[in-house]
Amino acid sequence: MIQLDRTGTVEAFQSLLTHCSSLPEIKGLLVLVADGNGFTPKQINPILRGLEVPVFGGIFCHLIHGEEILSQGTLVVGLHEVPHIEVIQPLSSPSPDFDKQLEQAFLAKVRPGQTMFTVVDGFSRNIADLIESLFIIFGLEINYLGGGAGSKSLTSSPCVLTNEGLLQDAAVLALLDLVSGTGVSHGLQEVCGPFKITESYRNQIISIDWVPALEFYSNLIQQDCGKELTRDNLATLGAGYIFGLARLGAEMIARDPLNVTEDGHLLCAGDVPPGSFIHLLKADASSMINAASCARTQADNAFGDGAEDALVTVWDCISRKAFLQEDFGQELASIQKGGQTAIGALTIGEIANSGQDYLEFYNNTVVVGVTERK
Amino acid sequence: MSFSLLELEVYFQIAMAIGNEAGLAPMLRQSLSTYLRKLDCAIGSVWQLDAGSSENLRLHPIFSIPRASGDHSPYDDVMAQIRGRLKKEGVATFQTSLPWVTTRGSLTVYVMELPGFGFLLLGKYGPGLNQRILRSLSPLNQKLGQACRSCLQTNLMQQTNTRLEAEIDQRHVAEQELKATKEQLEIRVKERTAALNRANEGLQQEIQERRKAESALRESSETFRSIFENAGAGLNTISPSGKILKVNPAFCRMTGYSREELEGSTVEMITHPDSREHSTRLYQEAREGIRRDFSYEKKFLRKDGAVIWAQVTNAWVHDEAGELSHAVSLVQDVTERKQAEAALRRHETRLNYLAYHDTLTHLPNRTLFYDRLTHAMSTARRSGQPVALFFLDLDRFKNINDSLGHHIGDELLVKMADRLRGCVRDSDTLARIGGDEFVIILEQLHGYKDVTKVARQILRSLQEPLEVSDRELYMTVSIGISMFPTDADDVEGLMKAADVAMYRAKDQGRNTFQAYTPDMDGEIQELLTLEGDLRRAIDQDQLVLYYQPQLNLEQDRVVAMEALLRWEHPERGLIPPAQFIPLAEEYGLIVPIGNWVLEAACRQNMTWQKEGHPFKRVAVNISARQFRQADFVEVIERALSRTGMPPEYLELEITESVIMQDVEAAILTLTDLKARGIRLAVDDFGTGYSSLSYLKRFPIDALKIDRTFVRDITTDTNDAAIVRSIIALGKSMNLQVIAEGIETKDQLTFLLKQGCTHGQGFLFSHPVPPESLPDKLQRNLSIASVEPA
Repeated sequence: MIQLDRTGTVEAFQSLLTHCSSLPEIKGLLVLVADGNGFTPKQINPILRGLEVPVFGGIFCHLIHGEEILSQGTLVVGLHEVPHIEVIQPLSSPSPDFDKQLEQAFLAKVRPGQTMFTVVDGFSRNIADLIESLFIIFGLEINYLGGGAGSKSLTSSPCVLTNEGLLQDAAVLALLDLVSGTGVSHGLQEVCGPFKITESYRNQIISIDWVPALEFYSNLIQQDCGKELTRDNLATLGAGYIFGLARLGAEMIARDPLNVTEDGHLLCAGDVPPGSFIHLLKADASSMINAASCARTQADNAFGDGAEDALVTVWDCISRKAFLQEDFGQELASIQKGGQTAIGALTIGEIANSGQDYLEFYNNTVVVGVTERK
Repeated sequence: MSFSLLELEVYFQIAMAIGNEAGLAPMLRQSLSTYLRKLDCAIGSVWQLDAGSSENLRLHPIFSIPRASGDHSPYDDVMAQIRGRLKKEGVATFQTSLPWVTTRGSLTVYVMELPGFGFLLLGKYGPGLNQRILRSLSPLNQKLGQACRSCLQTNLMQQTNTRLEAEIDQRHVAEQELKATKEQLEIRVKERTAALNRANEGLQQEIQERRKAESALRESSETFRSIFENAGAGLNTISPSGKILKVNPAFCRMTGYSREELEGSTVEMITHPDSREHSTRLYQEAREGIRRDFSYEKKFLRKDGAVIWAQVTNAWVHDEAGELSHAVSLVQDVTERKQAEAALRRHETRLNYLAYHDTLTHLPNRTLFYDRLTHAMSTARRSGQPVALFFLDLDRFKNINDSLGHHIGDELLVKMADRLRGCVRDSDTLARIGGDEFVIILEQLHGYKDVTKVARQILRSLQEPLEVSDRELYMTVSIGISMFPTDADDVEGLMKAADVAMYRAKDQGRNTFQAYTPDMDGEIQELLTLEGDLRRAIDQDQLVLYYQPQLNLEQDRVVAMEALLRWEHPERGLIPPAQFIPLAEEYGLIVPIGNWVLEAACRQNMTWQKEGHPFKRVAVNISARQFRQADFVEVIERALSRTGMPPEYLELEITESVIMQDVEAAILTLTDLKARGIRLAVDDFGTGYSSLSYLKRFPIDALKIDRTFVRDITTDTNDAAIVRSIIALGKSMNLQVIAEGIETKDQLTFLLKQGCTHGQGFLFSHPVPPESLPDKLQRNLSIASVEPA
């Protein structure tokens, strides 16, 4: 059951959640909230804490409903299976040990063929460590779907939605006994590379081939298009140039340079380890839109028979919308099939395993999940 | 063999990741996860080969990704193949740079040797790894095998060192313990020998003394007999079996039996059943030599059935052979003392109860509550389980006390305590800490849901009315909740947090619960400041009246002025009534403010009358609290007489919800006012729930249509229908209908078309101070000439 409120008011949010949770067949709720609603913990924590059913989700830059992008509103998916929920907070502790918490929370419950929805505060550190722990503990026995929640103003705020309330610097993991298929793609094209990351700290690239990161990045862009990159046009010109971490036999993992520190370090969504090699990738509208369609096909194929009756969720990077602008509608249209209304959110980083390949925290990528409804 | 750049990159990165940790598990975690990420593999596992002989080969799993498939079953058949091949070809011959490749469904499994250690298995779905990459992995696997061996050696050395150190420690401890035990034994033997010697000496001495005493007693038997017969206290001699041998007259008086009746009977006969078991046991112990002389209190049963308490002291006498002969028993009546003690205990219990309980509801009082909360918090500190504190305040309890009297209020508190008791567990603490304030301590919570469940249960339980003196009263509560240790770590902090949250619950419209959040502190501070300011505002003339004209829409003229209260705050500027009226109601300031408004409006109207303005009436809004005051009619009369305003110039506006709270009492008050010539209007009509049958009984002159209906009459068909009905209702009951909040000409046109006779709103004028009232409004007003304000 999918319910949509377009007003984005606290009253509508309360009424929607109360209604959905009161239905006897509903055992849990996935809730996606648009950042434009301006919800604060003070407003919605009493509502979340009062719910009798498990709830998980987040506040995202925008919501996706079919081919529409909503800057205000609330999407609620009523689940017919009880989700096993674990909240991890804080994420950004200096020496996290996620293995132990994940084993205690899920080891007795996990079975092959289940799906884990994963929503993280997109501005937390250690997201890569959490994803690595998930892979090391559970591998690809289960499918993962989700992404980074957070405000489009690119500032950290409470954005992870749980029965405890709205949380900051947290992740919510919901394991469901539901079969799913996933598709992951970005369609970015390689321009040049590889280059070595000579200095970095988590998601900050300090130098590439021993040249200050911003200068190196700027030179590469200038060689490709002749335009000069500055701090001011990073959001527009930079949106078209993304770094890629190579893998054998699979699409590169995109790392989006989102911002520049005062020292000229490039801030990416997602970690870039020192010693790794990066490539420069370039965005191209038609190949990106085509990639979205491929992601849907991958997900359908992985799911197998009955995909037309399944729940389709889309976790699409906010950077893709920034680059595609008015063409972004075509990307969403390419994911739609038949009478199904895909729902989802524009995220700050995406989480999925691409079919039966490695689980990753992606950037500038579209993730499509096809999940059985039961 | 030439590599692509990408392959070199992958090769290099795997090489960099191997062997960065000293421990085997962390090293393999990092290395294996890099293998998988860079080669796009789904599973990976490292196995150690224990090659004792080719007949006895053993392979142990060391580290696998994922760890959740802990039984390693995906690898079992692959491992069986390896064992087979090793047995066949011999361990020494197993040297190849190429891995074995096998498949399990759509998974391709690569088995690679880690020289000198064991094997690495990688599983990949989809397209396989090419030969070039597979060959290039051989030196990497060599490095990984070497890293595994190094880690094992380091582990082994560490384990050996640790074990040796532990063994040395254990031996040292054992030696120390042995030495200490030996020393302790020696000391105990010495102590025991000394004690036996001492006991022996004591025993000898006691035997001698006892013999002397017994001899002396026999010698003085005559003296004893004389004392025995004449003593004031009861004396008797008793055989070891409990038979009464001799009694003195005092004992006979004490028990009510004669000497004949007592001598030859048993102690049991005169012993009260309550004391029989104790008494029998003492005689038994005396016979067995466990206890000799003893003194104790017991109850006797007199011949007349009365019970007496006595202090009995028995001294046993032995015969020459050393056998127990008889006991001499001294019996003193202590009944009065025992009665006094019992009375004192009852009194103490009562005092204790009063000190810790509320006498009205019999709930724990503030003192006991603080004690329990302190105890709950210290228990929680140890157990780690949270404690929830509920602060409950009855909504509008003051109104009950004011309108129905304190005895009803008290009875209501008792009923409320009973209702709340039913909502909590026996292990929880419910206390009344003053007035209409209750608190609850919830312990042994399993989560926040337990807390909200209780809060909801309380609110739900109050949906049923409370029966108080043949009335049914509906009460609601506002609940503030704070949690230990999240919100505060001391009693005062926790109480303050719950109190602050309770005020927020009140603020949210009452009949709800609210958990504390730290940002509430600032808001409550703000409210408290505003409350202080409001108290000063009355004394410092910061409250002022603005006036808005009411027009006869048919005759195009101003017929009255409605007085509207404003607060001109010296720092905050004009504060709207919606912000301070609820505060004034909450803190009991609404009645003095209302009385002031009444008199000030009457005085202003008289000024206007003297200036010769054509309108006559002034309309004043009356609050619920004012209307329910016992002296409300006298207050109105006083205002009229002080200002000299004729009663027909005054219109009182009372909301329908105020009237409907107690319909019969309201009709009496309204009739009284009407009889004095005062005009009455029902304010905000349509927003409440007045029934037509009641409306007919109200002696009123006008209905005022609420502004919320007027606002959308031109766009909302429902609102238009409601307004039409109110106007028709007014006409049928011969009541004047006044529309509030007219802002546009379209609204005016609609109202005129429906036959609405009177109205007010921004279209004609905003509420303004009397000195700013435009001349044209003061003298005359034509609808056609109004400029939208």
